[in-house]
Amino acid sequence: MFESPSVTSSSPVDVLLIEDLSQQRLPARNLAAVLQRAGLRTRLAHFGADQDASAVVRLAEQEQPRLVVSSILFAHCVPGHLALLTALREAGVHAHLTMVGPLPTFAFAELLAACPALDSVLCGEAEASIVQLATGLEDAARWQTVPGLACRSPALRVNSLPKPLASLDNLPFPARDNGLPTRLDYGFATVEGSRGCYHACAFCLPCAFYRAMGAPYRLRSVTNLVDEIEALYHQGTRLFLFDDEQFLPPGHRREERVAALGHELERRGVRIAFTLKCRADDVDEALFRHLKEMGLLRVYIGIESGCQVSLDLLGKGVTAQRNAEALATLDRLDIVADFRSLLFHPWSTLETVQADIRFLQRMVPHVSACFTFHEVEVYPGTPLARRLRAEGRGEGDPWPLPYTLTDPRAELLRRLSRFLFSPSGAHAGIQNLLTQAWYDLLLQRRFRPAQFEADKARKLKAIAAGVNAQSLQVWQEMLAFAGEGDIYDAEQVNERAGIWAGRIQAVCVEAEERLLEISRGAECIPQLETLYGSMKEANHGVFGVDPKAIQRAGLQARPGRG
Amino acid sequence: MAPWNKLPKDLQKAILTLIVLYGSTGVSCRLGPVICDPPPPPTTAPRPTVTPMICDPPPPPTTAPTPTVTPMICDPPPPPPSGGAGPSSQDRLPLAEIRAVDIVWEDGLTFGAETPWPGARYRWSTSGGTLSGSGDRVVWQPPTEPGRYLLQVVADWGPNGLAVDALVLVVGEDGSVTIC
Repeated sequence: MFESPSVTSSSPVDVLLIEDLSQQRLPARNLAAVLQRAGLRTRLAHFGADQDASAVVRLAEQEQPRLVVSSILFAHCVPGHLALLTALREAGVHAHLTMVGPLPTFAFAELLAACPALDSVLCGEAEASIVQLATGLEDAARWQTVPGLACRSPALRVNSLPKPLASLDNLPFPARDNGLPTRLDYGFATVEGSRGCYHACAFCLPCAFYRAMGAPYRLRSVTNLVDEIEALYHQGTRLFLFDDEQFLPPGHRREERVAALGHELERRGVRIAFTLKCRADDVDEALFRHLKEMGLLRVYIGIESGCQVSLDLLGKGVTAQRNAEALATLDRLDIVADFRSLLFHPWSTLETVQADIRFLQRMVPHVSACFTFHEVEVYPGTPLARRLRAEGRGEGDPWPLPYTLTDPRAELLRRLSRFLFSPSGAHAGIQNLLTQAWYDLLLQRRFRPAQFEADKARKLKAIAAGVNAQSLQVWQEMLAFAGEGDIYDAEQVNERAGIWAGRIQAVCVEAEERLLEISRGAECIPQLETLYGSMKEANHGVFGVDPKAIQRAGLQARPGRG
Repeated sequence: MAPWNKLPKDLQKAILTLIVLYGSTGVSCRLGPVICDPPPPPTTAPRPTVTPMICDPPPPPTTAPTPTVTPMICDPPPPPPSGGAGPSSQDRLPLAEIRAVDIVWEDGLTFGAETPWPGARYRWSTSGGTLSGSGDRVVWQPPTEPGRYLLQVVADWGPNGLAVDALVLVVGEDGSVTIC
């Protein structure tokens, strides 16, 4: 959704860092900064989902780095990265190939077994040990003793995790060698004000990772954080994402920290917009009103579920009631709240899914974004993985651990959900368009308030409510079928699934049309029409009923999309 | 002897149950792949007892004019003990695989369905106009009314998988058709 500058090639490099850079996350950028501070030359290489590995292979062949670091942001990235590392080796790249990230930290044995091309996994907080690895590769006795390193020697060995960084302020600012993306000419950057979390959600991989490191929660000083924000501000950045697992510290310190951050930004004349992640029990009306005054546009709130049984199983430590109140509070403050509904986890039943859908129905008037329907991914190292394995389940590659629901009715609903709400489907498409439209409108509210049209905000919210209400209607019908129909009758299930898919498609087409109407001639969201136009250009043909008109237009059949 | 697929579904189930219980002697292989499938499951899935739940009443309305959400959260019963249904129940569920199919414009108002998986049955539908033809190729006759219409195809492999794709077809005032 943001325009990213292209990466340019310059001098040969010592370390090539591979990550899905489009996600605008920080791990590879942080490692690059640490390596650069040590005098090493680095290059960031983008490798996204479903991307052809050949461009990265060519870059590695050209640069011949001594170390290639594969940074795993999400579990679904793992197969692609393993294939890429194999391709690098097959292409004759002789570099040491290592992998970093929370998931590799807990799955190093499986990763090394699955990929002979992978030389090592650097477990733990890699900033603490990456320089030692990059500078010790000439001597096996040196690199094999790097803290946190797992390798075959020839048997599997793993060293103790490195000590966590004593202070996050000692880290250099992330390397942003490939420039900053923009949105409506406003620069965008991800920053982190803290690491870890003081809660203990049973499914949370970062939480398990930082606990294993012995540093559950650390904060940067406000001064150090604002130093980075100010530097980015002077490069044109106005929109910031605080990619903290837990932006707000516990207890009374949260008000103090927010006040200090607001004061420091104001003192330096740095007027920004930002988004952050939080939990429902963080949402205090006065505190979030203050954050909105400081530039908060949107929160990604960890609702996860509206079913108390599921919330307890997931170790959220929050009530469904509190979740509902948080969404209502954010709505009153006109702060857009995005969240995912984890409808499915290994112990889901028809009844837990029903409870979630009932919760969402109550929330429709208070939510300005499209609901998203997900399943819990079970990661190694988490309490959820231990519980699953203790039951003799979760066998297989742990990226993430596979599982089947014990309640077949819930399992059928999970399959229907995958069919109807796939990441490449119409529902995900309208969700993305709506998110972009909101961003553009909220940026206008923040930086050009005189031009802000509140009516457009109401229309966007109405579009979201329409999509949500109708999606939930389909869910109700699916629940009724799963409860009383013959769930093993493929003919019946497939026929109904096709009808439901058609309904969701129709809802999304209608919503897209309304979004286009809002954007038409609107200064606030000029890019929506452009994006919509480019999407259409990519796929459409225009023809008259008369086949000769088609020939005159020189149109080709719409190519298959694989 | 009536063909298998003409038999009432209940009778099919009864025969399959007998096959499982007593073997398939006397039932020829003309039953085809159906006999390879296990019978529909006897209702072995543990249905957790739903106990009536008492929801707390919503708090009394406050004097504040701001609407406040007071959702009534009813807890469902706890999940059943794991392993009760066993994996075999899930193995027999449909939608074993979510597959892909693409609608491709072929010529004029003819559309085709393309998928790398063989053996699909196709179901076409549209929100306006009429469709003729069947299988992996149809012809859409647009309606006279201008507007946006949806053309959808579902590719169906029975219990093994399902796929869907859709196109938006826009009929203009002049009768022209645009594919989105």
